[in-house]
Amino acid sequence: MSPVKRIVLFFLLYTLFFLPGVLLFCQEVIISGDEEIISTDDEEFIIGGDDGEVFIIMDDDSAGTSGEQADKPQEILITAQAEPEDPRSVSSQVSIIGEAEIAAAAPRSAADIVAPVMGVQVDRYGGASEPAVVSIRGSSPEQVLVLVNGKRLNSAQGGGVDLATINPDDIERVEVVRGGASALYGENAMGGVINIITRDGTGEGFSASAHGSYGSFNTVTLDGQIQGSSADNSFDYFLSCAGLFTEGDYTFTDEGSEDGEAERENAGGKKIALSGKTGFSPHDTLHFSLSGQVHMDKKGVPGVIEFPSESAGMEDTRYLTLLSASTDTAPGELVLDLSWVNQKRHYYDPDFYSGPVDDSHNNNAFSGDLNLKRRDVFGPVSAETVGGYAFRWDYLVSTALLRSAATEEASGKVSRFQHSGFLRSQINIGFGSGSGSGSGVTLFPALRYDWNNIIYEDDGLDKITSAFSYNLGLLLPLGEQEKVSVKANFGTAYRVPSFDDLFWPSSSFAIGNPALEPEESLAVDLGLLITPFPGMMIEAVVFDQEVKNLIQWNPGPTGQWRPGNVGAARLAGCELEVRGLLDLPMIQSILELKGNGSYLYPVDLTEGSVNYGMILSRKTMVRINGSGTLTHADEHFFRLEGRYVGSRFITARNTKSLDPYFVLDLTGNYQINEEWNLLLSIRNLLNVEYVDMREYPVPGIDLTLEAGFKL
Amino acid sequence: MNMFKVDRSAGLLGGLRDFLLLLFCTFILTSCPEGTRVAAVRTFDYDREVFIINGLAETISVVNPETLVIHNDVSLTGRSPNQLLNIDNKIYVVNSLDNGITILDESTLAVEGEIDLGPGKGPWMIIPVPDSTVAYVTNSIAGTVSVIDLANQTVAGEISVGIGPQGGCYLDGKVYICNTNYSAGLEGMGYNEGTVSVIDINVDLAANPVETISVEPESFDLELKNGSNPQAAIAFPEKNEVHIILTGRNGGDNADDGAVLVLDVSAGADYAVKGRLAVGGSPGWSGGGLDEGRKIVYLTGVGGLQSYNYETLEILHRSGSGDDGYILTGMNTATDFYSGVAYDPIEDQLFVTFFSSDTILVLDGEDYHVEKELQGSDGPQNPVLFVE
Repeated sequence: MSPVKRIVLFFLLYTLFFLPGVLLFCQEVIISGDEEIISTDDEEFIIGGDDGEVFIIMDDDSAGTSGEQADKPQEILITAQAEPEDPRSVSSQVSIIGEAEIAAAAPRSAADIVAPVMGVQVDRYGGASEPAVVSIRGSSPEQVLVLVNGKRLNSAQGGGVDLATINPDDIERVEVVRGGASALYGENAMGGVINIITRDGTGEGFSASAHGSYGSFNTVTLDGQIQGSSADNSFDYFLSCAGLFTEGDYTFTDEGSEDGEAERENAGGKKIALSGKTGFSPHDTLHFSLSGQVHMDKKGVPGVIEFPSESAGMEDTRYLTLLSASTDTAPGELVLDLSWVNQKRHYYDPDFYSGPVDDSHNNNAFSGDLNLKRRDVFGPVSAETVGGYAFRWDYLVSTALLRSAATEEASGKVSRFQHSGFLRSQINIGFGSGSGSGSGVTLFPALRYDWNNIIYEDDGLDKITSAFSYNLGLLLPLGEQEKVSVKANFGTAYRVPSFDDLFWPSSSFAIGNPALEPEESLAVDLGLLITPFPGMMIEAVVFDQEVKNLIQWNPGPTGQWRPGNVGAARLAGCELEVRGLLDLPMIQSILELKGNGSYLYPVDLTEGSVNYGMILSRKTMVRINGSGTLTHADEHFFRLEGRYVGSRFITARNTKSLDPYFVLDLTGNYQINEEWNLLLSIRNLLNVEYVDMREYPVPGIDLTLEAGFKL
Repeated sequence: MNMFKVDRSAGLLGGLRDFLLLLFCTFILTSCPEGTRVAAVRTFDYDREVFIINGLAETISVVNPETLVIHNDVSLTGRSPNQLLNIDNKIYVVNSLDNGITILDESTLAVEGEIDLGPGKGPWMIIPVPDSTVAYVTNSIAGTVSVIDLANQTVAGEISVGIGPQGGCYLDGKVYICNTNYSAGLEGMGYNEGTVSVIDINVDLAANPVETISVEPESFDLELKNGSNPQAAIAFPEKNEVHIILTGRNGGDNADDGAVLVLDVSAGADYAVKGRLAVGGSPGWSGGGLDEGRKIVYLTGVGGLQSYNYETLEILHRSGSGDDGYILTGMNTATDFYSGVAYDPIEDQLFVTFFSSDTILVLDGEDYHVEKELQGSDGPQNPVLFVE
């Protein structure tokens, strides 16, 4: 079946069968009267009314239905980094996971939060302590840009970001942008962007909370947070700490072994995370914020690196500091960000078969952004423009590089300097009587130029690359009440070869390739966003991306793997998501239903390759997620979440594939009183055996009982 | 704020219906077969066949040497197949990442059995003992050799040898194992002293430890980590010689240090070195590159094929260009990797697996011109000629 037919079939089936039913049970009614408001960030649930009915109020003025239009101008996404995104106000195809949704999923890391997002694939290497990397629209993990408060976590060394190292208790919301856009975000943003916004203390007064849990595989978690703000909100703070300790080992089916079962040993680990964020506004137009995070873990390595022994281990440490200052005076705003990210990895295997291994990699990244915003209005046309400059200095010291150089003068250091200039705008052209943001067509042009200088002194290499990126987005609301919006994007993206790609130390297994050029892509997408009434959202997108200079590691002479710019690929597909709310007044509860599916057709277009026309390996073509969350007025909730992951080829020749799987997770929260709650979480309720990555079985049923206290 | 109230009259039945329909859609979508690219049934059978492992596709291809018709991906192998061998009309495939050996019926290609060597072995090669049901399997990761019983498809024992054992051969009651001795560890990456372990299969190993021979020149300097990297061995019973293929530094730093060490294994010779053939490059040996009529050994590797006369120990083709340079030279000598060669004496042809381009080159056995280029599968290697 051709890719076009598959995409059409996917859309037809879902739109014909799935959408009408959801539309039926979500009906629009206006309410008024004295009700009790219960919570959440995205929406507020009002319990009571005239006869105990349940109502849903969207805490957003831009929903635009039967209610009044917003009076104040909506906050405009323009930095493409730290500010909150609203899918209805930007052209980007973006999914937002709010604090309530995060809490209901009872995540152990950021990986659990993004796993159900449309178009996202999370590949787990095992249990709670093992790495989990992310792919968006069939990208590699390195082609996904991961930001924390707008600052990138991707190191220049490469390998993608391990989402299992990000503490979920610190997260206020996660924004997942699907599709490449280096003009907005810089390098790495080929498949998409994950922006993690950490919590702060604004508007909370003083509050504190703590949780403790115990679960399968002798897993223990402990965490605590305090947050608060001054009466006038000119000062706020948030502090948290969290720890996870797991024995980790588990059994799995192994058809190759004599008894058909094997033990996944050396899968234990521990994590500790500390986080703080504070904001200070000495004046209405001046704001400072300072945030810092520390992550430390130590885990066994039951197979991340080829052929480890059972005593192999890895320690990851990350320090992140961000200082931001902004001043907002008409007609514009000035924002200055400075950040430092230090990421260390210590890998050791004292019993490695070809001799003990003990390597350390120390990555430092210093970066700064200067953004100057300007707002202009010319009759029906309003524009908000950001121009700026950014720099980044990545610096790696690696014992592996040092040993590879094998000279006394070697330093084992690699560095990369990047200077960037960017200009992006949001131009709204009002129709009829309307003007300004929120009505009419909005264009999102963006340009960016990046200059990179990579220096590897031990090898005498001084390499300069540059990239010019562009992007054009379109947001076109249709109809009087803007219930339907058309969103479209067209632009380029790229990824600079990582230090590992370029300088992997020569061994009998692999060697880097300093001659590599950046990967490049050209992407286009077209989407419909339908909000027939508040609480109901339908999103449908088709996309197409062509990638060239794809960096692929292939075996070369005598089995030594080496990367090369040999690949070209096309990744086309479609995505569909439906969200709706169902009133259950007889039990004073609300049922939130969410379903999404994505279909990907990733085809290898490498000229001259025997695999030309084959499906790219390790790409999941069909993913379907669904969840139902029943929330009671007393804050009890019950959530059932299912995830279907289709089969994936694991050889480029498409001769072998991993089996599809369906995993069901269940979470139940019982609110004992205003302070105490009990939460039961059962991951993989059906005890399905599955693998995301070949050789790395994921544990079966995983039960956790958690007690929480808040003040 | 915009407000709305849910209409309670819209029932749960609608939601239930849609959930069921969603499941139906899911079934329809996901049940669309991608189309297997591996033949389920063997539809051909020839008297003589060249079997080829496709290391990246993890499959087997078959070539008819008379018609030069190729059948790609006719059967699946295990993970990281490294060697294919025919013993008594059965095909044995060594699957390195599976730590096991798959046994296929030669005529049907049906899997007849598996031998599990246990975790952490990294099996590399099978060395059968003629006229017996015993074979020795080198375990490159474990640093051991597994003794397997082919009749019962079981592991009979395990013998410690050196670090990184790969190739080997059997000759006159002894098994010769090449230990590459590569170090990736703290004391510096590189090849340490290459050795050959000699296992006497007729003695009690508890009382007679495995003998170890260094294959390095006397000038070998351990600090430099420039060991000779012995990767394979070829037995010549009529000459009482074992030829050790020294791959050198695998092309690292543009190394041109490949060689063949000729050991005299006659009784009392004490493994004396009869010659050292400096063929250069990074030579390898895949098992089938022997022209017994012309007394030529063909070595695989980067940049082209090398060869020498095993009777006279004369180098015929060494690294580089020119009349005595690489066979197939003229292509990209930096990256082109010829992973295996099999000689067919009936057609006087060489079947060369060109790993880098996923093709099989058919060369004339006399002047080495390319007679035909066959499109192979992904990562062809280790061609072996089978004759029924």
